[in-house]
Amino acid sequence: MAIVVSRHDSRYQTLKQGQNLRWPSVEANAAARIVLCENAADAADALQAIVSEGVRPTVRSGGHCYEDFVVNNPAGAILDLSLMSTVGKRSGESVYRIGPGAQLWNAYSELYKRYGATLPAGTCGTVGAGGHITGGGYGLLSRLHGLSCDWLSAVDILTVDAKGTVVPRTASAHRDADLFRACRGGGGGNFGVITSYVFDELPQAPAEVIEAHVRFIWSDTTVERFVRIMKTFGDYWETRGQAPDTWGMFAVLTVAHHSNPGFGMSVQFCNPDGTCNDLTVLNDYLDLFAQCGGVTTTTAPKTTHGQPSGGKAATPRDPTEAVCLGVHTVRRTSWLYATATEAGGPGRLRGKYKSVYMKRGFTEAEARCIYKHMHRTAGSIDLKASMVEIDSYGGAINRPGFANTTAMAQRSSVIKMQPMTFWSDAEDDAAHSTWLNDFYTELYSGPDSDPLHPGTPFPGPRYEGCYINYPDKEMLAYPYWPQLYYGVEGLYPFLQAVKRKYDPNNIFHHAMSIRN
Amino acid sequence: MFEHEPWNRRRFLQASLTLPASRYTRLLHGALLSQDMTAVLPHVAFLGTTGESPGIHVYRADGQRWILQQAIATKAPVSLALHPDGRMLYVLQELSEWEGLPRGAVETFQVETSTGKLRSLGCQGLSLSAIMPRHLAVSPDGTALVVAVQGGGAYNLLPIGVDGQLGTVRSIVKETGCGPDAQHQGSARPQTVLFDRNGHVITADMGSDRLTVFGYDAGLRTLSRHLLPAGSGPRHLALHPSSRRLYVANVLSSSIIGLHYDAHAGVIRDQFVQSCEGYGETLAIHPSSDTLYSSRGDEIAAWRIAPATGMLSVKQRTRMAATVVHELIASAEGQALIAVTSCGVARIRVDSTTGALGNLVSITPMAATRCFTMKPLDTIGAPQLPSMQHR
Repeated sequence: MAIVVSRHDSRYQTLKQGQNLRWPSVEANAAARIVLCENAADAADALQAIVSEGVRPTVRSGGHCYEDFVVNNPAGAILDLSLMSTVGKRSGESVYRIGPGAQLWNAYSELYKRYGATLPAGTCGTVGAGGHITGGGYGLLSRLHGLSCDWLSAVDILTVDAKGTVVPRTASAHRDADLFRACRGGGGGNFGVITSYVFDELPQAPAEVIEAHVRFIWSDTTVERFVRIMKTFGDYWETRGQAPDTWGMFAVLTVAHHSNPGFGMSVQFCNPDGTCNDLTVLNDYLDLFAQCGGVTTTTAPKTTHGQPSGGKAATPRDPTEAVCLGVHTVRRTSWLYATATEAGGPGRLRGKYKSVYMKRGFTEAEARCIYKHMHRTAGSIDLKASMVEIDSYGGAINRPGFANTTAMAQRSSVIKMQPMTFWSDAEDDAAHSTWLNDFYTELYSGPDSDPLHPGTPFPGPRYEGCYINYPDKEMLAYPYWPQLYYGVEGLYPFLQAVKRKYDPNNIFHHAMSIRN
Repeated sequence: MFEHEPWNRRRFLQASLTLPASRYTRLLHGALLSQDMTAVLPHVAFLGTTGESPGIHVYRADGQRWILQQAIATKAPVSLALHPDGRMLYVLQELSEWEGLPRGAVETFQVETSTGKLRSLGCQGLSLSAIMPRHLAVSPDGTALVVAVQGGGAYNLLPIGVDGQLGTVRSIVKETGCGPDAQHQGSARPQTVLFDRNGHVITADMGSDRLTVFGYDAGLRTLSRHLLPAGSGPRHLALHPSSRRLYVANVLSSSIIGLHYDAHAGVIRDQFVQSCEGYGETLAIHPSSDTLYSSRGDEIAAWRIAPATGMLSVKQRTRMAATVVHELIASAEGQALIAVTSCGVARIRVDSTTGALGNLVSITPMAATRCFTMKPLDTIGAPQLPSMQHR
């Protein structure tokens, strides 16, 4: 029996909201109740009751949705799957199952301890598996092993037929294959309620990894040096970084606003076989940045948005060992420890996010634009927690074939970028959103942009659109927003057909859901 | 059985072209009169048009003399409703997207007391997924507006403030259901909302063959459901002035049925008219003569309602060839039937005693007319709120 938390319940005020405190935007937009399900039968019964009542259900796994898709649900019901968090193999089954509510850190930990396996997965440990996988899902091992959705073999899903009856299905490549493909990256809250993610196989976790951190000081960084850093980063991932021997290396360059003393880059490395026996690739990479004024350290730059996350499991004992690598001092550590350290969530702040897939490295104009906005102030608002996270990408993600069997269209990119800003006070909502919008719009209105789609990274020679798991409602201003998120090769019409077939009443909808 | 030459689009235009130039000019801005009609109080009439230049056209109607007062652009008007006191006109926008979100909207216009001219006060978006809304109605006490959302398969309730302005959507009912007609009944498709005198909301859902009665307080709450034969496709409703009988136009089965209605409880009871074939798109009831009017395509019929039983028997049939009738409205005085057609508004003389259809007395040609409402000019802006019972 599901647990129903309604307005008079002491848990309501906490559970009516997610990680991003911007939502619900006003009390009138809050859901009337939160229905916590403990198993698939609970979820089916609860969903049927909600639909029969004529109420809108929204679906929550981890509560990390960047936008208002789940918790802005006036008089509706949030179907909360966070208690469905089992990870592992059932008795008599050989497949791995991950519950939608499993937080990624717990999934890493369970899979590692039981099987030595892992999801390629994300960096934010309190993200729920449900949202992560349905939106594609990537992380530090994705260059080596591909996206989480690439490994998915089946889903147990509840759909609602035209008569309003809940229908339990198991969708796979062999049954309801169109629905299965749509669940491999089409984004959450579109087609039904997934109660279990099934993987026939998962990659083995690395035995160990090397972590390196490179720090740059703003006061030492002229615009010319900044351009050089950006071009060095971009050029590497566009060229050398696509060779298979580099796929075990993942770098995130976090360019923080100038109101911070500096910015930095974190690198996780292992060889393709999961060992750290040959560090040549890493050493060569770090050398590039030493020439740009970067200083290698063993400690990660303090992430301005990385407040302690309530859902994180206790980290294992620190087995870190400092290692001299040429002129660089790095850390050798266990993969599990490294992942636990990385698993902090964005914290319970207010946030606004954007995204872009890049098929090429940075141009000088792009680098100068980023530099400009990282030095720009906006009235009196505090921009210390405003930044661009720039992730290495590609590698195994871009292996041929997956674009047609998953709903992740972006398979040619070498960098994935996430401009974002965080703050605490509601009165700063508009100013932060405006700062970020102005930055993003100018970045994609420059000489390298598509003149037919100004202000956006429309798919073309340089860009490959945006990431649906980093949704941004501002993009709805562009009538071609589906092409930004789903490409120009026919994926969106396919998803619309799936939507019409499996959710003919459009029961599952939000501001950026697939429109039928 | 047809009593008239069809009133077709050609006749609309011919009528205008045979006029002297001075009258033709007037026609373009107003109305054409074919013969006298008993004088009635001046009205203000609002026509909503779609097509290339969607807008609302405001007329002052002095008997047959209709003078255009204003043409104001708007997005995609599909249904109009005046506040009971006439201060506001609510215009339902048949959109699949409003402000970037998948939803339609309702635009509120302030109505100038002396002229009926409009001033837009802005739009209120419907709920997410409430795309391509079809019909709206305002509660008799003027506190709420309800929308039937065809595209999104839902009903929305929006509160109306004391100043006549709309609040944000207060209540959503998301419908499910389907019927055997794969083309038109793949999912719920609410078509019509109608308030009874007690403030209950009677609705027709073409997609699910279902009628629903809602009550409302904080939100819409279902009082009763009534399932029609599969494939009926209910599209329009007419409540007899007695409030005891409800007539339903079924567009897919091309039929009219009658049902007993309990306005006290908000419950639809047994069906007493099994099926009158044909004319199942839109309905209107004469205010005093037990006559039901119906249309299908370009055809209009008048039916006698047996006072004791509510049974229907056809009295007259006529055609308005080549022009689709969207809506029928029986004038409050019982002297005219207004046919809102794709070519404009036609006013047909009606015998106020018998309800019999007479001649076409005037037409207001207007391409792509979609919706219409009117009200006596002297009631615009005047309080006229009926008392509510059994809320």
